[in-house]
Amino acid sequence: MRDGRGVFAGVLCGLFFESIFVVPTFGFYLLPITIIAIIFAVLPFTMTLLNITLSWLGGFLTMLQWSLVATQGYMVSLAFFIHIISIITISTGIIYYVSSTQKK
Amino acid sequence: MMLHNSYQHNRLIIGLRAGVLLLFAAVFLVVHGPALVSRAVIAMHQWVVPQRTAAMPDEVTALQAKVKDLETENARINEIITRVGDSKKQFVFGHIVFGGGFLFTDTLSIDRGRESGIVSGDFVATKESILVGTIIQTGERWSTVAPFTQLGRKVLVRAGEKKDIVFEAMGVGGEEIEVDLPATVNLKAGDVVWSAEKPDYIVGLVDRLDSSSARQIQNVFIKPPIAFKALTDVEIYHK
Repeated sequence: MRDGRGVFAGVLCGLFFESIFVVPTFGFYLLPITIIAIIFAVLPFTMTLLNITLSWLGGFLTMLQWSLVATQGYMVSLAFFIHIISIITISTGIIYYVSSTQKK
Repeated sequence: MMLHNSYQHNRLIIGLRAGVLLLFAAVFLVVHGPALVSRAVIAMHQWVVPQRTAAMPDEVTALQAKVKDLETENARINEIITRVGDSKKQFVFGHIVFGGGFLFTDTLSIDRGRESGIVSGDFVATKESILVGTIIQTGERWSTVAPFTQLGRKVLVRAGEKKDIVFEAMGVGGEEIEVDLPATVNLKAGDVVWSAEKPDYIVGLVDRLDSSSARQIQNVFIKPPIAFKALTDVEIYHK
């Protein structure tokens, strides 16, 4: 298990996006990004790419599910779908970068 | 004897090489000489003449650009004065400082806030009476606008020639709202959709309808007639 720096970075990242974007409810960005950070911290696979992929999927599915709940079943627009992918990808990149700079 | 011959031989070679070089130099001077001389004279002249003579073209260009900016600003101010005079409602002009489209989001921020009398709940529209959204956050000199197309936001609208088709649409983000209506409702692409709460304001146009003969429900997608990411100025009305 990695140390908490990645999780801390994820929480900060989520709070940053919460503050600059108009959100349906508080936690729309924070929760998925925190989930990414936690999954990345606890995954034991030696393949970093596998850890990143699974973390990305966890955050993406969480945000997409929250979006479907917010729209009461309506599928999000293509532009918002790309927005979700952008946010999750940027957050995963930041979390990976912070985690990879930790002392081994 | 051999040393003497080799000495003469070397001198001959050196002489030939010097002759070829002189020949090339002579040809170069004949061809490019006048141009080089005139350039040298101009450079000396510019060095001798005071610096402000060389700076004048840049100053004139800068002044022309400034005049153009002032003319544009003047036209904008005249337009605002005309709008305020013609309008029967009180509103505040706002300039968008953080537009939609950043990472494909709908968020809009404007440069007016509590100082201008704006409070949460005020609605935002364009000068063409197109509804944009609602103020949800205010600071002293800034406000955040939630477009009516925000994910999860519901908006009551009217459609049809007599505005008699009333329904509630759901914002799905990306400057789009969606609603499921019975297939018997007579709507087609391009129909104007109005706000039910503010009948003078346009919400958008019907973009497309997804239906099939077997289905009794049609998905109606409505988009604003202008892209919010392209907006620069909006009007804020008190609720």
